[in-house]
Amino acid sequence: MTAAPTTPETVQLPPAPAGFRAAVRRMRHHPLGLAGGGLLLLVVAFCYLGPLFWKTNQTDVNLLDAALPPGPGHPLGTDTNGFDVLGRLMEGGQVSLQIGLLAALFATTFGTVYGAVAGLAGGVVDGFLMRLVDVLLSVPFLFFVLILSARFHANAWTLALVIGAFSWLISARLVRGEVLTLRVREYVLAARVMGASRRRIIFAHLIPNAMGVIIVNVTFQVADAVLVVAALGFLGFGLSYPTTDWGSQLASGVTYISADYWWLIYPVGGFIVLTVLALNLLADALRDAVGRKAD
Amino acid sequence: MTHLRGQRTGRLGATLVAVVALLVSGCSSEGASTKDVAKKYKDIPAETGEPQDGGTITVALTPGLSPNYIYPYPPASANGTVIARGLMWRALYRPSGAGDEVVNVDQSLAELPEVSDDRKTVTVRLKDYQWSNGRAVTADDVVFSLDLLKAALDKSPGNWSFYTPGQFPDGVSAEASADDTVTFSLETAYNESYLLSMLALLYVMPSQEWAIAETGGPQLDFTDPKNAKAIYTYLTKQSEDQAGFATNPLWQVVNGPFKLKSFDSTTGSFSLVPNEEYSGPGDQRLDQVDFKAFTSASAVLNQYKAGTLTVGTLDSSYVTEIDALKKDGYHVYGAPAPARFDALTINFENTVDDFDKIIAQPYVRQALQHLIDQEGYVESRGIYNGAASENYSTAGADSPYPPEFGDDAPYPYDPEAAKTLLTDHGWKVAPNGTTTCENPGTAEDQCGADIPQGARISFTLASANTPAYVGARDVAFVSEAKKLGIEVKVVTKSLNYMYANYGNSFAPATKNEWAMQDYGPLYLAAGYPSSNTVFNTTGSFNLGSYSNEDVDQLIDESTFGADPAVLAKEITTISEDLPVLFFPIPHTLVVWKDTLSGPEESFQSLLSFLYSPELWYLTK
Repeated sequence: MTAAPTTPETVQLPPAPAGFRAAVRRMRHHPLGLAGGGLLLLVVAFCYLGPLFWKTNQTDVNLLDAALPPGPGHPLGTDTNGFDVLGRLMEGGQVSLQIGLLAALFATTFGTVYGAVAGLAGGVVDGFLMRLVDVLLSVPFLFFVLILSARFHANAWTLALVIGAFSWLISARLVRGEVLTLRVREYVLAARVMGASRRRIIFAHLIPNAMGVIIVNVTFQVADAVLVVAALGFLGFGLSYPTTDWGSQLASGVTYISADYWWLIYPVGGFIVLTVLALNLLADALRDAVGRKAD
Repeated sequence: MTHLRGQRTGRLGATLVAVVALLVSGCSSEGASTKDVAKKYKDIPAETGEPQDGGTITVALTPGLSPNYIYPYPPASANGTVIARGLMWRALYRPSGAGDEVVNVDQSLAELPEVSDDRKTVTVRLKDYQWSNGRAVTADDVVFSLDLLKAALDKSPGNWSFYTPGQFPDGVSAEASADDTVTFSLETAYNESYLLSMLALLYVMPSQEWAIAETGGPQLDFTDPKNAKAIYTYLTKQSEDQAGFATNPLWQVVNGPFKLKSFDSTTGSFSLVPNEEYSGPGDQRLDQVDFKAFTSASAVLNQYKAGTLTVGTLDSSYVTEIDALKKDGYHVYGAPAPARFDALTINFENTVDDFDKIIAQPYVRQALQHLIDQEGYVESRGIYNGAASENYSTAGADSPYPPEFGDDAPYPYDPEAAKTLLTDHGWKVAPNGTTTCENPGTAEDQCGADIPQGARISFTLASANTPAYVGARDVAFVSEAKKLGIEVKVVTKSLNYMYANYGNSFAPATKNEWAMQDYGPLYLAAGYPSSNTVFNTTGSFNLGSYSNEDVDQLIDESTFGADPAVLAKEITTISEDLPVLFFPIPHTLVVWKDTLSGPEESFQSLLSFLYSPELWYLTK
């Protein structure tokens, strides 16, 4: 006796937005995350909307107004070129955030695809790709950058590329780890059975489902990149006049620390700290929100 | 994702550390005037206190210049900085620390030379000096030293940075006419002062102990050029062994006031002890002199503050620290170093955007010099903070050969004059835009030879990453240029990179990487600041390939002519023709503990980095 063929019962998967909404709901109840997000919004608004309200000349050096302490007309004083420090912070902040974001996007995009390919392929390909990552991770970043800085001159794009070129390794490892757990899920197997190409599996199934990890990683990457930009600027591989970034400003300020030009250090140092703190708090909250979903 | 948690903890920790670091650094400052800053250090304290015998002092070496070589003439390939230059092996004449004389006769190994009427025979009588092994310093030693210098140059012209092919020591021979008399025969007569400045670079080395080509080998006849070359090769090879600096018996034979006791090859720091046989001036009261190497000026300042340094120089960026240093028991004296000038060196062979054609026009250089606000730079708290002097010539401050224009700048700060110069020569000036050549051609009111229509003035300025005032003054210049529609792209480079790569005479391949460079100071010979080797067409240190027939002629006259007054004419012509763009000269600060004393001149000569610890003593 043979059983009559029956229509398989349709499995109703929860719509993706529900997960997103749940994550947002969890975020709402994460006070530190909200504080981080709010702080980040304030920093972004300061950098991008600030110049609309606080107009300063950030291109013409003013010798006789150089290194003025905070006072009328210059609430945060002037720097050693006579630029208004408040305006300089806005200008430097824009560049630092842009570089941070660019580097993070570059690193995450490349690292995600790289990790997904490695994780899905498995075997020799996976082994080769990940050993390559190990090798690159062993290259000392600062050493490499110092060599580059001796020969080349930095601009915002090259800085973003250099930082991104070293940051994608972590993204690749994270995504690869996530893909190793996802690739054996039913919906991936189903897609394979239905003849989906590897490309489709990666871009339509694996990466969207690893998006939680990726988003969290992007946030950390931006924070890291802002710090790295600051460090590079501090080491002399920053941007040159007329462009500026927070790291270069801090480096310049520290040069004059013995002259007690404190206003060249505290404000920009504070902004670097606040921005990184905000991004870290936000990333932490995002990780918690996405992580619970994964649980 | 535990590693993420770990990263987060690390970041938060770093954040907290940063916040605490910021908070502990303290904050207080006033917008004080910079006009009277120089008053704090312009007078040199008188020699005071009762001398005591013994004691050790610590001397700060110039940051970034850690010694790595001991033989007095390091080959170019060694990129060497010599240990205690002049303290272990004296030159025939010791350079003067004052700007108005070429040499310090008292501290020299010989009396001033006697020159024949045709100036082709120079007789030098040696004073009574001994080597540290008791042997007298003789004329043979001087002949040996000249032969070894020639051997070095025979191997490579780059082995002596003061060399111009065809000039000293080319065509110069030396003969020991007596034990204490050496006679130089010159194929070409030299100006006496210029020759003296060359003899001040001739370090006297022991002819008996060093005239060997292998350890324990026989003494060679160094007058044979082949032998001299072999000796030079051996000595430079020995000098590569840094671990043996303090132990190799070769280096213990000295004629200067000190011997090397120890050398730290990791840092470049070293210690000297007195040479008991030294018979020159000075009581040699100190037991030991420790020279400490530094990599940054701020580290030097910190060591002064900690009280661990006895004497040294200090970057003028720290002029605000003078009061604190005085409170901590230090004397501070400052002034512009003799024969020093600071400038933007121009590369006349950079072809990017037709820069070579544009900068060849004197009116363009004059316009650019008009954009440098020297008075403003000196006063600015962001550049010199009052610790600098305006300067418009290669002679530097208080030179015995001042330019004919005196203190009146030939091209003072005047942006309007700069604009007029450009518009009068066919340029359409676009303030804060792009100034372009509208009227090409070679007529008086046209842009100049080979400058095409539509050409813009755009070039790269390589700026040294230290000291701080270099970057600040370059940015100020760039900003002024921008207002006139001139684009200057600043690239910051390390000094080492610039020294190795930015000079057409030794690195022609990188000529298009830099159109101007600011590496800080350039020192000419104090007492006779000739621009020979720097601005003559064939000069070995003519970094930017400057060439001007009139200047060549004048340099020739000041080098070979009898009349030293022509040097003022040379300086005037060069300074008006602008092979470089002049900046103010920052003052060099000399700092020493008030428990250390000695002749005032011995501290003044530190402006020229001439150390004289044999004259110093600690006070009771």
